Amino acid sequence: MADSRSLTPRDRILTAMRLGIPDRVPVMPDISNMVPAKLTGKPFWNIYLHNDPPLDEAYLAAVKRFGMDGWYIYDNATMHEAPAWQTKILESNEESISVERWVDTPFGRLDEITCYPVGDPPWPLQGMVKNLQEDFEKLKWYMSQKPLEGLSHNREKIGTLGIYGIAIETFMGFWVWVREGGAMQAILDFSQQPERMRQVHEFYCEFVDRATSAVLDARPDEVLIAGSSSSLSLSSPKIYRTFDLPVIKHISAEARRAGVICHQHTCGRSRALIEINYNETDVNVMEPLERPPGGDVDLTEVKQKFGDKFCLKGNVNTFETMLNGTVEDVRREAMACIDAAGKGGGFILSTGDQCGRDTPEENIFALVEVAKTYGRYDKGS
Amino acid sequence: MNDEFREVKELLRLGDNQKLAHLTKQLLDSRVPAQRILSEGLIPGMGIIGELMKNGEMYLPDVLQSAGAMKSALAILNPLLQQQGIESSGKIVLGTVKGDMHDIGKNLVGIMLQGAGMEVIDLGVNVPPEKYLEAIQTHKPHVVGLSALLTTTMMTMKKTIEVISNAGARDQVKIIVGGAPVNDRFAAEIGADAYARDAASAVGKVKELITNNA
Repeated sequence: MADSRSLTPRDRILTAMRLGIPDRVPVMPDISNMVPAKLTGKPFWNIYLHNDPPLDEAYLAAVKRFGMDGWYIYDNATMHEAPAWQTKILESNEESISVERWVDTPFGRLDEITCYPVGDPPWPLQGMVKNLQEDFEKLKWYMSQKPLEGLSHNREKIGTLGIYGIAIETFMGFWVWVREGGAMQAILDFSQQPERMRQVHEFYCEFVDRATSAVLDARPDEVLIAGSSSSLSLSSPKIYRTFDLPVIKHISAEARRAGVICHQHTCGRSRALIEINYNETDVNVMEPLERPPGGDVDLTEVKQKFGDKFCLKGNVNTFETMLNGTVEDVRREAMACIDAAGKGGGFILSTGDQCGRDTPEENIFALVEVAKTYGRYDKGS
Repeated sequence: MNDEFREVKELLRLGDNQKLAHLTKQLLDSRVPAQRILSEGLIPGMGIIGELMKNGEMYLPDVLQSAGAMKSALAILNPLLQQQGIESSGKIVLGTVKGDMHDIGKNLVGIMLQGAGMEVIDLGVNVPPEKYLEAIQTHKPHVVGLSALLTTTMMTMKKTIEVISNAGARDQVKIIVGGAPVNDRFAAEIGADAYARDAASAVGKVKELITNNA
C-alpha cells in the first residue's frame, strides 16, 4: 500500500530502496558534479581546487533549487585523503591550473598531477602509479596508513533533504583512479602484468575489508559501490568476475549483516552485470541503468526480472534527452520510466551518469515535476 | 569454402600476439604475399572483431589484446609492404579536441581503422585547432576525426572546423565527429561531413567518406 503521508526526501528514498511504496517516486537526477559547479557562477577551479564553495555544498544548494530528493555521496573511503598530501601549482593561465600533489613515503615520493580547467571538472594529467612495481609499494604504504576515522562527519549537511552515503570503489574504480594512463593502461595491465595485478588485487581486497568495517561503523544510510570503471563499456565480464565481484560480494554481504543499504553505480553497458549482481551479491540498489546509446539496459525488462530484489534507479538519457531534448522529451521519457519500473515501488527516477554542465535547467525542473505529479502513488500510478 | 587465413583470424580474435607473429612469419616463408596476409587475413579478421564488439559479444579489453596481436603481425608485414610500394587504404588524423582529455573512444576508433588497413595519425588529447591544421598540411590525410566527451568541448569541434576553413584547407579533407554528447544534428550544424556513433560504425563511415571523395 502506498504511504499517503508526505515523507521527507530521506524517508521517501529509503522506503523505495527497501522495496516499499513511498508517497511518490523519489527523483534524484545525477547532478553530482558539473551542474552544481556551474550554478555557483564561479570558475570550476574555485570549487574543485579551492573549496570555494566545496562541491558538496554546491550540490546541496542545487538540491534545494530544483526541489529534488538529495543524494550525498561526497565521502569516499577509497579516496579518503589522510594523511593530507602536499600541493604545488605548476602552471596557471586563464584556461586551467595544473597542480602537483605528493606524499613522501619510506619507499620514495608518490605524486600525481591534476589539471583544473576553468569550466569543467578536474582531470588527471599524470597518475600516481607510473611504475607498477615501485609506485605501487608507495601507494600500499600510504593506503595502509589511512586511519579511516571520521568518515561520516559530513552527514549532518544533508539532514533529511536526502540520503547520506559513503562510497567504496570497485577494484577497477580504484585501479583506473590511481594508474598513470588511466583506463586504457589499467585494462592493458591485466594482460601485460597478470601476476602483479593479482598482487594489487589481493592488497585492495584487504583494504576493502578494513574500509567496509569503518564505513559500516559510521552507520550511513547506504554504502555506495562506486563502479563506473567496472562498466562493460570499458571492462569485460571476465575482469568483473575475477577482480570486481569479490569486492562487491564482500561489501554487500557485510552491509546486509549491518542492516545498511548497499547501492552500486555502474554506468554504460551494465545489463550483464545487473544479472550477475542479482544472482551472486547482496546489493540492494542498482543504477543508473543506462539505455542505448551508451548503455544496454531495458528498464521494463530489468524491472520484470530483477525488481523483486533490486530497487532500480534511472534511466532518463543524459545526452539525448536531458542535454539535447526539449522539456516535452524529458517529460515523455520520465513518464515512460515510471510506467516501466514504478509500479509497486522500489524505483527512483533518475538520469544516466552525470548530467552535463550545459543541461538546460528547465529539463531538470521538468524531470522533478513529473515525479511529483505523475509519480504519485496515491493516484494509482 | 576453405579459408586459408582462418587461423590468422582466430589468433587475432584470441589476441595471441606471439602465435600470430609466428604464423605470419610461417606464411611469409611459405611465399604467401604480405599483401594477402593483410587484406585476406588481418583486415577481415579485425572486421569480424568490429562486428562482435558491435553486437556486444566482445569487450574493450579483448579488442585491445586483438589490436596488440595485429600490431605484432603488422610489425613484420609493414617493411615488406613498404618495399612493395603498397599503400594504406586511407589516411586519417584523429584527436580529442582542446580542453578534453577523454581518449578511450578515440583510441578504439584508431584501433578499428588500423584494423581496416588505414594509416592513423593520432594527435592525442587536448588538441588545439591549429594542431589539426598543421597535421592536414603535413600528412595530407583523407579524413580528420574529432572526438569530444564533454558538452563544453563539443563546441571546440566547431571552432576547429572554422580554423581549418579559414586557412583554406576545408576542401582538402573530410571531417567526421564522435563522442557521447554529439549526434547527427550537431555534426550537420557545425559543418562536419559525418558523425559516427561508435568505433565499429566509424570504420564504415570513414570508408564511405574516402570512397565518395575519390
